[in-house]
Amino acid sequence: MAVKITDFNTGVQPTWCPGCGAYAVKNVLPQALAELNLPPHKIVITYDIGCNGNGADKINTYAVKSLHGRSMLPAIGAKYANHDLKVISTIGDGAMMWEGAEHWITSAQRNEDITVILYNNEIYGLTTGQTSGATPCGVKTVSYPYGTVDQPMNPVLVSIASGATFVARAFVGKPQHMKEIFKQAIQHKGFAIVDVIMQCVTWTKIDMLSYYKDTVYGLEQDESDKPKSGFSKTKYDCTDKALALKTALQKDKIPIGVIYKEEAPTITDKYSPLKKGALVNQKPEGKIEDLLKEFC
Amino acid sequence: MKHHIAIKVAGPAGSGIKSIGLMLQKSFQRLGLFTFGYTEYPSLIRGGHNTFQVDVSVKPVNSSTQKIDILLALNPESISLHADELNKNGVIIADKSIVPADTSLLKKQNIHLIDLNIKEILEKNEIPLIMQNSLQLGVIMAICNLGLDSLYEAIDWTFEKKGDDVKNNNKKSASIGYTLVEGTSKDIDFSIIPPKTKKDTMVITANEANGLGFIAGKGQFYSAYPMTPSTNILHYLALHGPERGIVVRQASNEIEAIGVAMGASNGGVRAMVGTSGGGMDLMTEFISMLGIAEIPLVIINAQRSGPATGLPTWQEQSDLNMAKYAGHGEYPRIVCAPGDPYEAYVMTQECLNLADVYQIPVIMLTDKHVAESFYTTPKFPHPIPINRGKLIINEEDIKEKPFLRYSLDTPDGISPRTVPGLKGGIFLASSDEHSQEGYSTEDGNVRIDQQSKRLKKNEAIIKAINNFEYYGEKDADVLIISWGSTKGAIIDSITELNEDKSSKKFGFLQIKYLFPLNYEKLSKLASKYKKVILVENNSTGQLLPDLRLAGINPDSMALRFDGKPFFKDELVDEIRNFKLTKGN
Repeated sequence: MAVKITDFNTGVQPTWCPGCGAYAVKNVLPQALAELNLPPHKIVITYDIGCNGNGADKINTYAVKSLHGRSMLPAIGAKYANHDLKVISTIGDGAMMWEGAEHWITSAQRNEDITVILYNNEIYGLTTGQTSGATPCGVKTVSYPYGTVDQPMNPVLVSIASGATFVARAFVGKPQHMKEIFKQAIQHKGFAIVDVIMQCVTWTKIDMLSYYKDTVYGLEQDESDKPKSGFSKTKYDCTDKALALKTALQKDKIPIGVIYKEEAPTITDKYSPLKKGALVNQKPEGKIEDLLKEFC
Repeated sequence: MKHHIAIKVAGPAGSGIKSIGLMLQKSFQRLGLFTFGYTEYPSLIRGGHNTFQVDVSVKPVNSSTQKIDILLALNPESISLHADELNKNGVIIADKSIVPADTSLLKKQNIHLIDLNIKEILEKNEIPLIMQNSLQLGVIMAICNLGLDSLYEAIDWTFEKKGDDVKNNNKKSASIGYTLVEGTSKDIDFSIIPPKTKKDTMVITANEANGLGFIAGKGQFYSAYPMTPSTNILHYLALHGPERGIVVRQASNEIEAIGVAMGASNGGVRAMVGTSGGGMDLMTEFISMLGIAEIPLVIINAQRSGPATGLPTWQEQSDLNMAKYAGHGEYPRIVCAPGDPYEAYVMTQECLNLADVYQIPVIMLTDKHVAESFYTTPKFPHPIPINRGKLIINEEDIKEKPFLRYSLDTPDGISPRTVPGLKGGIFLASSDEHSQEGYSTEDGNVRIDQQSKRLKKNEAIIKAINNFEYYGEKDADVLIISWGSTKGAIIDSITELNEDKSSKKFGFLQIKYLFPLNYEKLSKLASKYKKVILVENNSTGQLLPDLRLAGINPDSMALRFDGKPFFKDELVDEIRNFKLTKGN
């Protein structure tokens, strides 16, 4: 039986501010999962703390709402327990780039077999608008009322540099494109990350949605998202790492699409017990006697 | 004729001290003798001073003595540092080149010297100098009058993978050492006669026992970040885990270690993490999450001296308070401490069961002494039965529709749990307070219901666990109360004292499961003794508050916090005379 979008309904009403970018992810992710025909019980989604975490009970799948900055850890664990499941870790920019930056970088380095969806609105929302690791320098926030003093982190650049094997950017203003990116990321074997750029309508003083609409361009044209002016006409080679790093550094125009992709071994190739199938379905065998000999 | 001999091997780090010590233990074990191997080393790879002390006895031995009988010195420093520890008529075995020019002081102390020109002897026999340790071991076997067979077996065991040349040359070296010394001096006699019946024993550390216990308990996911003295659990499981279907993952830090293990456990596989106090500091936020999300996990904290980096390679038992209270909020947990590797093996399996049954974090406290000392223990028994509690791993076993992971319809506070992948079992494991589905809530009544449900488990836990073990005389005058690795020195001390007709009679109450604690039972157990002594390897006596809650006020405390464990001879002296230990 084909999976329907409604299978992902929990019936819990969202609590985000009207116009929040998080709604788009909440609506588009089930579309992507349904189109991939992935039933809710074959999926684990982990959530972080903050506005992202407030979405934890809005999509009906197995889920873990983790601690701040730690969304990726139970996701990695879920994959080890049962690598037949699709595991998605969602997280905000404050959590991923500051509180839990170590987990982001090492997960990329180790090519953990999870899909990370970064809710990137460049600010701490739930704690009322402080500077995050992604807030541009000079932007006035409640924690830096005279202007943010630090340079922002570039999640795409750092992900590629850290060893992520699928790095993409999507924009909530282009939901069809975002859905296709989600599908590719979820199907990718290895550490996939999608930097979802979105607006915060409450704490950001500028109209981010309009700004992004004017600034983004697609790396690849596709049927569902007709190119406007400024879209690339040439074919972009997302397997070229040097090109990907250069693309990640672009500032005047913001590229969306798959920026970098490579094939690399994942946990099932690395850990011999996982070759026999999902760990949770295995019955560990062997007598303890055999191991005692060395001490006798 | 000797019943107990203490042999100390001392020398610079990196000179194979541990390997010599282990070969000695193997040689004695093969003869049916009992041994205890205790190692001291600084936090260095090379350049520091290392020792490995082997206490060998005709009876079970669970501790070291402060005083030694034989010193095998591998550098001049070893003689100057340890000559004072020798008993009268003790002996120093050393190469001529490192013996001080003036030995009159040693003679005055009645210390004998076996100084050999090892280099020359080996060269003459065309044996590589690297095999000098076997020669020295041969000397020890000769003065203990034990023959060479068991040392040959130990050589085969040690050099199993090295080929016949290495084995044969080492045996030759050993026999040269033996022949050189055998019968040369009547003054030097450490003859010890092995017991007639040989018991099935093992020589093992608690770290290895934790690893074996995890395998016996059908654990499937272990993650850890290296930290002394817990690291050998990681090494043991990394080596033997894969063939047993265990994923062993070195985490990039302790937060990752526990976060990933929590995810794996929530995914339905038995998981465990290992660390020391500093690493457990980092793990505390996830211990708290395990509490609210009701996810089973076993956490081993092999304690070492603190605070902070403390004495990183030395003994202390100062994390009991932390184990009981780490992590914000209120939630059930179990804290336990094995007293030796045998208990570590059995209790690791018990912990895996308890974690699964009660869906809680279970913390096992070992420490440097038990984790890294080599005990002679009875052969480990068969694994205990696995109990995974209310875990549902088949879809047809899901009865409720819709499934409520945190169902309140449970008399013992434990709700059935499913694992991701099962149709009809979907739930959210949340760090937030949650509804029966796991959905976030800030409703005060739901909060009360869920918090009360979780705390209800305590009633069942306290009934299920046996906090105490009692050893010693039934009608003892004095009760010693302690926990963890002090068990070895305490058992050895009270055995000696109880055999002494002039001494008061001693009993020992070991608290194996430290939290939650049955105060009523503790009170009953302790009330019939005239005196109570608390023994702990820390500076404050972390059991004191518990004892007071049970109405027990210890008459005396033996506390040690200089980085060393209790030694038997010293503890005998302290408890016999009710002497308060240094530092108090």
